[in-house]
Amino acid sequence: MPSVASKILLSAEVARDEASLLDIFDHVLNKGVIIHGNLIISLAGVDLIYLGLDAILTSVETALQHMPVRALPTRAKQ
Amino acid sequence: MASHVKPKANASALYLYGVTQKKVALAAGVVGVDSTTSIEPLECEGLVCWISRVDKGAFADNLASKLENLDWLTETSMRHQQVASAIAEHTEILPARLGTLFLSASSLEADVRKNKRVLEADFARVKDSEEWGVKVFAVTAKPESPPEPMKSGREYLKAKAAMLQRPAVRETDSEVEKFAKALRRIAVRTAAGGQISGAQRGLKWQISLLLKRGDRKKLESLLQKFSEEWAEVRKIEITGPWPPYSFVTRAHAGPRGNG
Repeated sequence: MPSVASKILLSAEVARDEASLLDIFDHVLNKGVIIHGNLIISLAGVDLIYLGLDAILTSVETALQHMPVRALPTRAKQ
Repeated sequence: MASHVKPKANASALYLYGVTQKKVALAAGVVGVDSTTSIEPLECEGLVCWISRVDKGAFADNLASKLENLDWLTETSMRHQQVASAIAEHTEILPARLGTLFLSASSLEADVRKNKRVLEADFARVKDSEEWGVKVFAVTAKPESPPEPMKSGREYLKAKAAMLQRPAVRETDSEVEKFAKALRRIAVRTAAGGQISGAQRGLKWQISLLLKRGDRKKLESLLQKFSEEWAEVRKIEITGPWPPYSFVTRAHAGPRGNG
């Protein structure tokens, strides 16, 4: 897939391959507008579906610590 | 027997990437989280909701189990971010959190209507601004002598655990404080850094900044100044520009379900 990081400028002295993915997780899982809550799935009536992601943050974090660097996306530089 | 064919609308859900105040043209090739469907701007309550139509079975009904799959989560997160950034190139966006799905345009519209006032306030806050992530890492000196060989597996695991452990409270020193103050002076707002990247080894301090687009040079010169001063001691990493994920209101939906 095309690198998501093409707009992400990493003007870092620290060349850490994992940085962009960790930061993406931080932003898309942890932040964002509209709804924040626990699991909301309704089949009738309220038809908004949202899965609260707080519960999985810890497991993602743990998994990433053991994840091989090669599995991470290539970073595009500006 | 066309009348027996299930209507396709029943099998899809609307995946939300974010909300803007106006419609813009996206670059060709920007696709949704499922890697195939296109991104659509839907007019809602005077705002524009950016969505793609996703398979309800894959994205809504089985979301909980999908989220346990790190490969799926990685790809979906990257695609979500790619779309949000593609829109942010053209106009202010209030980015949605990953996994915000609606079963119909009318339910999306109802939600936007309910949160309209909050959304308007968020737009005013992020006007002409973008988000940047700043981290300070300790530079670890290479050991002069090679480490003692591990005598047992238990010892190895203990050492490994110590390496991965994050401090309960980030240590800050006066130098970092000085940098923090300088950043706060140029930022419109600041927010605490994220939970996941907080686990990076050697990380001493992190912050998210909401910065006016015109102030990017100020950030660059601060980075340059402190990088030079800290060359042997600390390293600074900056990521961005991000859509302002950390500076939008996370409205509570209320106890509409339990999870």
